[in-house]
Amino acid sequence: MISLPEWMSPRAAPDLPELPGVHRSPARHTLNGLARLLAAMLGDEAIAARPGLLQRIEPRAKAPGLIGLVVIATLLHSLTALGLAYLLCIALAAASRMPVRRFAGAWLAAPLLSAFIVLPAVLNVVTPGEPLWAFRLGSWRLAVTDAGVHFLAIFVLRVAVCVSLALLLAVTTRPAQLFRGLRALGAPKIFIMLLMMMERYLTVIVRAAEEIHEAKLSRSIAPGSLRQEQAWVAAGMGALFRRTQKLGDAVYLAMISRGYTGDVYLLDEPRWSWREWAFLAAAIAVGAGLLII
Amino acid sequence: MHIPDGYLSPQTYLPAYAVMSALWAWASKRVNSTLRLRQVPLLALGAAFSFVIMMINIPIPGGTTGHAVGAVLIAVLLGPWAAVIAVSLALIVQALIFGDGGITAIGANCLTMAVVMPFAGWGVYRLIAGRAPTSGRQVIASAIGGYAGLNVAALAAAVLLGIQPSIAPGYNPFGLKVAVPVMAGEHLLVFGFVEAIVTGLVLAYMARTDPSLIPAAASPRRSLAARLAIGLGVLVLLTPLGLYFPALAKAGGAWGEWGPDELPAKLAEYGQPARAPVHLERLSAVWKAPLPDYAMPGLEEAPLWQLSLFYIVSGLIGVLVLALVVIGLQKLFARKDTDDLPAGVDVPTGRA
Repeated sequence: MISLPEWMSPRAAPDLPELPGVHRSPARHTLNGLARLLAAMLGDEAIAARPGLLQRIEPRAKAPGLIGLVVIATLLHSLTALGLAYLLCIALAAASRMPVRRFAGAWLAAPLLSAFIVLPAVLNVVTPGEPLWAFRLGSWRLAVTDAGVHFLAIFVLRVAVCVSLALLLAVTTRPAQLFRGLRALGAPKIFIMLLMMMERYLTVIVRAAEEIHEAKLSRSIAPGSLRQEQAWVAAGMGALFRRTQKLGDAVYLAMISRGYTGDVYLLDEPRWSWREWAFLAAAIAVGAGLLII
Repeated sequence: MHIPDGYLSPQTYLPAYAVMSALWAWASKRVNSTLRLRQVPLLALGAAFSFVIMMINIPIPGGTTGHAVGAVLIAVLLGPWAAVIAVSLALIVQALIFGDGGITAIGANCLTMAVVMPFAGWGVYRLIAGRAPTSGRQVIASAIGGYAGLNVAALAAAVLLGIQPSIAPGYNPFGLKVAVPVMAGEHLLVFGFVEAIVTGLVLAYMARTDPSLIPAAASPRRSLAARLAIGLGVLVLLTPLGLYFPALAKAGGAWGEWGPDELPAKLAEYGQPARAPVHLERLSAVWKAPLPDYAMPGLEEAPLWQLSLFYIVSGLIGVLVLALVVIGLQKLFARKDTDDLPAGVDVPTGRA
């Protein structure tokens, strides 16, 4: 298997150096974001190509299996069940040779952000219950309640499980195959084709946006006034739209030149083996088990 | 505004998916019938454009940056139904491939950002731009459309989040009283203006460089009667607001509209003898309304959602009865007029 060279890995997408006088330029901010997006797309492709447990499962079984487990996770209200589901996610990540750095985003960052957002829910003003720790804030008498802490633990664990499962699906599957996997969930063919085309041309549009920003930055010494900068960003978006339309026309011509008549054909799907059946059976068993706990 | 997994209960995200499935089917049918094959690659690329627009930062006062959703911009440039598909595709790819927004919340997120936002914004744009707009009017209309579209979408997202504590505890813990002011506040004060600036300035750029890219507003195909019916329908559907707002503010009945059952308590408040005037009691017993307080008789104290349904039903009955009365009167008097005319005079009926 060919692995990505170090300079193409997501970690190697450096933030552009800040120059005196041009610091915190929105154009730089955008360029950094676009570079990170491209790097993440390349990095995830590399993970999807690794020989791991989930990588071996055909997406038509993997997508319904993992999305089904996400739905079940949203139904769980027991700490034990959610804790077990969380451990299962970590085990799956390890078995799929997921890099710790990539998984940590879902494993830690998303739950911590959610915990921060719903933190006031531990207080008696949002969740009444037995006070565990009472304190005064000015003239307010507040208390952390047992029901509030229980709610926070369940909420954060549930978010962690959902985000981890979604990440496992996204990272261990090539996007085009993931979209094909949506067929198993009843998505129409035209929808799958649109998603595949969009994903295919996303890199082209991202590159076009990068070029617009690079061209500007390489020709400016200092940022202009707020109004000038805003007008420039809008002109860039307008130019991007015109490029999008032109590209759409070119793609359309290419499609009819190859005989496109509006019918959608997807390539033959690989056959199912015992692995797919085993994975689906395991997903159903785990889902049912978690609901019973 | 991307709602993650775990914040919405299945009681919310499943209906959102059901609504979106129907809308996606309808949107693709509509797009297919209007622009046919050429639209297919344009929709896919429009989705990629929509995705990238959400990543482009624009400077805002205070030295920080913000980004737009762009749904109204796409609705103005490609039409609202194309925007439904393009923005939905962008949101699906964001959720499935990049983990931005939850998988279970895709339906709800598409409902707010890919349906409510482009339609609300596009509606406002069309309303202000009119039928034969100048470029200046188009730019202003699109900026206001962007502002309105984003704020209505934020309100819709806040309502979806805010109803969680009352329909299924254990998900988003903050009720409408917290979710709506927080979401509405930040969008009314900051993000709405970012959306307005982006939408307006892009349209200004288009108008300056290639006005042919901005589609001209098509003349309305619906008849006056159909538009009137749609307007009335929307108003009827909005009538339960008259129940929700007083309930939210814990307000009583309208001042001065008290019945003989409420009046004694009110009079007592003002230090008057707590007794309804004799004639009021006698006269109010003369006629018993078939739908007292716009509710089913005997169900005046039902839960708010049941009362809302009866409000809508009452609204429909009211509109129908009034329409029948007016049509009847029109028939009656129109005939009378022609009867009075001397024979041989041709009366224009108003119908071509």
